[in-house]
Amino acid sequence: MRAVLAAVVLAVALPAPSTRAAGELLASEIVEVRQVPGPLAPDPGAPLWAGVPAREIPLAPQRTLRLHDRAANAALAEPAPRALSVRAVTDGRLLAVLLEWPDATEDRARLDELERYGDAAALQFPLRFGPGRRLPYVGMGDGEERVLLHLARAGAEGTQVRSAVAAGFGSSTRADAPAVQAAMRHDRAHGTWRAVFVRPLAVGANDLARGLVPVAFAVWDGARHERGGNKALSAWKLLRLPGREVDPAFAAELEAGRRPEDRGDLARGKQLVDGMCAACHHVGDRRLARAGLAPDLTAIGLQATPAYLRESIVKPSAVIVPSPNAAQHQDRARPRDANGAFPRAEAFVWARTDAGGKQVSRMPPYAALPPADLNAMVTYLMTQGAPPAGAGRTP
Amino acid sequence: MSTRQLAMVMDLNKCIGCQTCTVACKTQWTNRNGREYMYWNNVETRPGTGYPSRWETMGGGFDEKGALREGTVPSRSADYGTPWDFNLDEAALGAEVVAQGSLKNGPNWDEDAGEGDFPNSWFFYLPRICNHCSNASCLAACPRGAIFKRDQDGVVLVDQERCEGLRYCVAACPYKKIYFNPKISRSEKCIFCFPRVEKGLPPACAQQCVGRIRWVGYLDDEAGQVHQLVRKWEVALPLHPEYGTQANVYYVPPLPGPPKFDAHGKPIPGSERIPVPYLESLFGPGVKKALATIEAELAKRKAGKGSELLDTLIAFKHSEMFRLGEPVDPGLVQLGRRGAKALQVIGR
Repeated sequence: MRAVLAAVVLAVALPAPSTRAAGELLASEIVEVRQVPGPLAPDPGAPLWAGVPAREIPLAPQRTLRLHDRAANAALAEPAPRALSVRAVTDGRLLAVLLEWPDATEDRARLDELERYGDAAALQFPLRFGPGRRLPYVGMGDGEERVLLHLARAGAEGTQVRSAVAAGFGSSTRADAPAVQAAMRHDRAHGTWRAVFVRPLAVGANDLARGLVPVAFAVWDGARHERGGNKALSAWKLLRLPGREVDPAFAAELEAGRRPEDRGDLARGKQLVDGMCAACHHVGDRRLARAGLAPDLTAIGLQATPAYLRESIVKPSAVIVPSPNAAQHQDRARPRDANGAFPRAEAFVWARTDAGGKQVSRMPPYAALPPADLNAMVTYLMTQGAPPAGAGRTP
Repeated sequence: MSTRQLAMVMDLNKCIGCQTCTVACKTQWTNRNGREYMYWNNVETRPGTGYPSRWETMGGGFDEKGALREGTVPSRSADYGTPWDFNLDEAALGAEVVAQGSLKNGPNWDEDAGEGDFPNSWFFYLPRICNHCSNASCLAACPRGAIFKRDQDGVVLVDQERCEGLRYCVAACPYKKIYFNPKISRSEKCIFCFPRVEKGLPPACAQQCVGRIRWVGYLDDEAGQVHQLVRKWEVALPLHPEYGTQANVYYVPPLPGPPKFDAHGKPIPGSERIPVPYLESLFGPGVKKALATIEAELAKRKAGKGSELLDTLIAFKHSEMFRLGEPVDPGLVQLGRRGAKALQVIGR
């Protein structure tokens, strides 16, 4: 048993050396950044974009954590294909990213109404990244690996642009980054939004002047009452910057779990996930567990990387995602306090603090899984929230 | 989940619907800068749609298993009513008073409508502020942890630095007592006048109440009238206890009132003008016991005997309705009122 555990941990931590070119297995994840002459301006209609190839990125609604707006949840129950296309250019100093996504209606926040939400888009970068650092949790980072976010939103009076740093769901804190610019434009005839972000490659500690830059995308549809955690989110993707070396060690880490030999048996994976994970998680057609007992895995395949899923199964405490879930469930079986307050239901607390002050996941580590079973489970989970036909191809 | 909990008791038998509380609150907190539509304190007519209209149908709170329920963010124009002005400048010079704006709904749209036909019509007033719940569902719903409950008094507040105006709190509050300010894109709510409380003063709505219907004090202050009405006499009940938030505004339910009249104008003995099941739909299963206690004390008074409960409810001294200082040692309560007073003097 111990030998198996060691083998699994090694497989996660130290991908075997390969004869393939660095980053070869990442082709489907990469957005090529084109070198252009400067200066770059936040103009969604700039002619330069016509010559830049677009990469389509699948998105899926954030469902890991359920929020409690009836209208937003009703929209979640009516799934719509979500995707965006990404173009990116650099002049060597600035990076410009153009996002384009379908949305029939232009929704703006309003000063005279309360239940109107502005359409919005965001870019997310790991605050720090490189060989030896795991990627932050894709949903706003985590306690150990923070993210930098750039948001553009259709406000009541023009585009609102803001940047924020986050260390987990609900933690985003506005960051002063005046050099980051953005603009949005809705095209009613085609039913599309375009948002362009322009930022220096270096913003504070966040330095993107590397060969491979992890990036994730999110889009909010105001008509679906999306705001905050109700959004459509991508997995970590990669920008490939022109004229910069790809660090082979970093590329090898990003390839973890993507090698042909990591692919497992899909049917076996479903059997294992349905038999074990579905006791607490909602996943695929298995939705029997009480809602909120564990993160919802409905769209996990479009938002997680294989390496993250492997780690989550083998070492669930490696990434602890903060969540308000515990406060949303009362334990009616235990006595109330002096002021009549019900205690929190322990079953819905996703992570506890151990005697040493370390956060420990409630999920038991499945460190002893045979490698073939682990591969099968990850392979099956990566099919969850499968992209609509054609998504992921370069048009 | 605070160490102590401030609470308010409102005696609905004494509320005359004068809205002095509403105005006291509005002029202090909500007459400007995106808050014009908000009524942190409102007085609605029951039966009626309330403010915002049909707020009881909008979800929120906790279900019977203790899980947070989803809810709806009300529409300003449809549910709260868009604030309007009158042409008072012209009216001062003799013009007819005309409302400016489209009048479709407002905070007191169905005032005094009630139910039933004369001579058996009935209604009563229900003043409402934030309940500063022990299990606040606005707090539970906020994904950013921007809402907190003060440990020293249980007052529920929005951290304006953390709030990003996402409105999940507005959806989750079953009483719809937290409001979105579209002008600053933040949620705002009744703050129990905490700057006044910190100076030993009751909230403005309670201080200004001309009917003396409001008591303010700590639930654990056994010498306080709030504690006595809620815990000792059990005549003050939370609104919609089934919402599972443990509201900390407590209501003395209205007595069923004079009997109804038959077709010949004769009183129908034993009839209830205000149906007790309706009161139970608002204040839960404690209604019958509370009403029986009050009626028994009324009978004692009618028989010429004393009634401590009625003395409290009459509120001879306004100042005794508010106890915001340190609690008296519970042991002193046993000594009775006179003893407690004497010891307070010694304590000074």
